[in-house]
Amino acid sequence: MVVAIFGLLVFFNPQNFFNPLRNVFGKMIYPFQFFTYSVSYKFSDIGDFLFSIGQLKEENGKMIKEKQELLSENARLRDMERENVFLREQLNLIPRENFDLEAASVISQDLQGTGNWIETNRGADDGVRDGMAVIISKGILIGKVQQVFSGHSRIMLLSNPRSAVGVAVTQTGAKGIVKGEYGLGMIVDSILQSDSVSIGNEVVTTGTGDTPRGLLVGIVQQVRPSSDHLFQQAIISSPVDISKLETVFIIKSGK
Amino acid sequence: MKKKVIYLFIIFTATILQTSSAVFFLNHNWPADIILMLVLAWTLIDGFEEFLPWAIVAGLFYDLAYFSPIGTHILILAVLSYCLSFFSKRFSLEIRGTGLLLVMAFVVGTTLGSRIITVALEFGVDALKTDLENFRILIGVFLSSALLNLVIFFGLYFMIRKIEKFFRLKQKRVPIDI
Repeated sequence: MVVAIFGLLVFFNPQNFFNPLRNVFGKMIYPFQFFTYSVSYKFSDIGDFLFSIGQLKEENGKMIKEKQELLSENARLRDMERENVFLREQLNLIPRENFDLEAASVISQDLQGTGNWIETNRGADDGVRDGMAVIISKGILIGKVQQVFSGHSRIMLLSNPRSAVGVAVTQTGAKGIVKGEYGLGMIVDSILQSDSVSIGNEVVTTGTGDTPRGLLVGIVQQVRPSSDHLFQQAIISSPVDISKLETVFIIKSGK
Repeated sequence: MKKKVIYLFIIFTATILQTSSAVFFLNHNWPADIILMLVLAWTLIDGFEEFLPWAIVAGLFYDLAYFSPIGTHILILAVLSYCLSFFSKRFSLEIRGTGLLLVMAFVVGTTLGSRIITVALEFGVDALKTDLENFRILIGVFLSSALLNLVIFFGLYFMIRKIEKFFRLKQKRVPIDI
């Protein structure tokens, strides 16, 4: 009897019917989740620090080398930034930093560890809507708002197989669609065979839908032909460790 | 009433720990399943018939927290609870001797089974093929998850027994001679 009732429920999946229940449950559980997530985050941070002491010396050497490289790159980029600001003004594009951001705390994550989604403590009451882009730091895209409740929302990560965002490779301009793939993380699909993509290239958004242009998505790790050999696919890795997220920013609009 | 409040509190706490804490400490790639282990431990203590309503509550909390279609985890937990109860009656499973090994095998099997069901529901059956192709990589992750689940299962089993004893939640059955 129990199997039959709940089997039918799963089969018909009346999601909206249960949304008020999810809303109430979310409000009930949120303060506890927020507290537990913050405490667990701090403890795991301390644990990571203790484990990383041995690697610090080696990493320090790498950092010094990287710093020198970055200093020279920085000088080059500053010059390009000046040029970029001028070009953006000419094209009437919104300055990249001027987003209306809503800071949100992560309160829970995909329970199966498959990098599918995270849950934040901002919802419809805070002006959050479906499809809004979610970033961290100064413009690293991690996903989009998938489901909004009054006081909380679920963020679909880019590694979710249902996620699809238009992207381009900065170095070559090759365009494609970044999708999640189970077991691989993220892949850029539908890249034309004639386009050039190399390992280490950066992938940024092209600005479709609610997702602004120019947000960093990841770095190319591997390039392979698609299963039908009509396109290329690039496996990319995100510079973000999703399991260590505490605060994210929801882009509500460009100012 | 006291029993209901305590049971509800334990299931609610397990749901919070599962959603907000497990990913940090309990094997990030294949987190241990606190709620599932709670249901299995409780079924072994209380029996399927007595525990079924609570398995449904645990499944409902799981579905609400996991954003899965309502009923998914209720079904998984109810079926696994029934299977454990069936095996425990048939093979007199107990936490000692050969029974202990069987219980351990059941917990390990459940770890795998629940993952297969969840991955198939969430990503489709094709995702299982990917798992099979990456079997060599996944075996280590699976074993550590199974080990964690075993530790949690036994931890919860003894904790629930202590709680039931402390709050005198088990009703004593008085034998009637006719």
